Amino acid sequence: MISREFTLEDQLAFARLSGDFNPLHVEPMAARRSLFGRPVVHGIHTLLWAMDRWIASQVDTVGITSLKATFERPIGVGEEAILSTRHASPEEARLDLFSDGQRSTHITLQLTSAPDGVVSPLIREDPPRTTPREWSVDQLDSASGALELYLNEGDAQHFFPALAARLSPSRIGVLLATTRLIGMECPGLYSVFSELELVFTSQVGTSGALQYRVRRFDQRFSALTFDLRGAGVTGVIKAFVRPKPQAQPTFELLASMVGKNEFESQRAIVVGGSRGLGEATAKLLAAGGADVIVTYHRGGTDAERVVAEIVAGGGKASAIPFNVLDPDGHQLAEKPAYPDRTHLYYFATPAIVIGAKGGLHPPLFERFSHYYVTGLVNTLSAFRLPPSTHFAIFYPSTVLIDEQPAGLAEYAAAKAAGESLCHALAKHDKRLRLYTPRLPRMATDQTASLVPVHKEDAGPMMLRHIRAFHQSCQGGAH
Amino acid sequence: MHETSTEKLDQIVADILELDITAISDTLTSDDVEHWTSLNHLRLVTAVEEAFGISLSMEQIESIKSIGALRQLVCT
Repeated sequence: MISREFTLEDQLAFARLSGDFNPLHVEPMAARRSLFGRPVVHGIHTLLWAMDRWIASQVDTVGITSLKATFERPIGVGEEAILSTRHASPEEARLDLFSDGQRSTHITLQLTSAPDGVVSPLIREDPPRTTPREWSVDQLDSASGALELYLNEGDAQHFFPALAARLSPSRIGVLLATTRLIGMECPGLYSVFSELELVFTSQVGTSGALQYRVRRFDQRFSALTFDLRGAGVTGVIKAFVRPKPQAQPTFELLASMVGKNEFESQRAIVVGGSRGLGEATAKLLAAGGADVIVTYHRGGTDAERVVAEIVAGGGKASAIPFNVLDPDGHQLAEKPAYPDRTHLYYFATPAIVIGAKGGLHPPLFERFSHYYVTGLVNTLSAFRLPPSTHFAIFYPSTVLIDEQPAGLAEYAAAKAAGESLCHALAKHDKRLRLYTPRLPRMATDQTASLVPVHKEDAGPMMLRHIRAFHQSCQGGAH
Repeated sequence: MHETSTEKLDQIVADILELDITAISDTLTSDDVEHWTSLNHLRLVTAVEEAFGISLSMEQIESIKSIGALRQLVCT
């Protein structure tokens, strides 16, 4: 068993080598707004590393006649990737990469002992850096083109020494071109690479370039199937057009749903208010006359956008940086205490990663619990809350505690622990009022998926719950 | 011997979900099968559509929670 972490530096080096600078892989802030919630390793990067490590472990010279790779779930940058390899037969090797206790990449290699002498024209340098393309849906049906092969052999030998020693440069150039095709060319900016099948041939074609053509575009799932030929390969790639970041309703629209002074008695802190449910909540509260402090960890630009929109619409809001995982609230050290605050809305969350089916993967549960349990304690401590005789906490829980769908046990269990913490706090501090609704799926970056799933609009759903919370506080109910 | 539509379907299921073909039964659900992920659900649907020359609606695709439901959609 071999393991490693792919760092952001590794990712940038691979982007230079392959030409695939898609922000999903190299720009943490942009990747944060993707359906994966964090920068993730290029699938082809994991493939080349797995092949390299497997070849390095082989005593005999190994030739590869074809390969199939399925990128089942992404590996986050900085997360541990574990490689498991086995010979299914003398002619077939299977390589599996795991992360968070689940298989991420599944690779099958067909092997030969014969040397591979095919050489396609190759430009022996890094590909030029370009900007990822965007396509309209009606263009994708008929997309086609050709990519020249590039390989900076020195870097290839440095990053994948065993692979570079055994596989011809043009074969590596083809593999690198496939990630450039999906991440930069088609579908480009909003893409996910899901499957690659390549057969190595001796046919390099007239140009020697890798030619692609979309065979099928299934609009139900935004799924693309490409045929590949030329450059000594035939093959198929499957990819998706991934959802764009989920915008929340505008302040103007939300203000039309809310009474102007409906929430004017609230001086609220909205933790994690830079996007998603926190953003919708901050706007609804401000639209109803509340004075809102939005906190953000990494999304400073998003938080400033939310505040600017609220202020431009006549609402009261400000933004401050705050990391709920910082037990001492060091970021707030220079700030005044917040004795005037009356309500806390706690939306801090990590990327909601799907876990294993059946059982529970402890590291993933711990990651969620740090945010949903420890983070809440840290927040109360850092802001010195509750500051007054009456203080109220809105803790968004989830219907998944009741539904228990496969793969979300870690998330649901951590949310349930957060609920339990809230009730423990309220039991021992009579000044606290609580609202812990089990919310349904709403349209946010966190619920974005390749498979269409029904989601509620965040605006009306959050307004319903904010009103219920507000009324319960007014009525004095716990 | 000619392959029945159930046998043809089961072979697709076995390949994509990495199941022993003898383990495939009507009662097997997506929660029971390790590799029945959302991505493999789409791969299964598109492979079945291509093999049987059919097109399933989104409602039908969402309704496939078990092998029995898939067999009923495709083989009846």
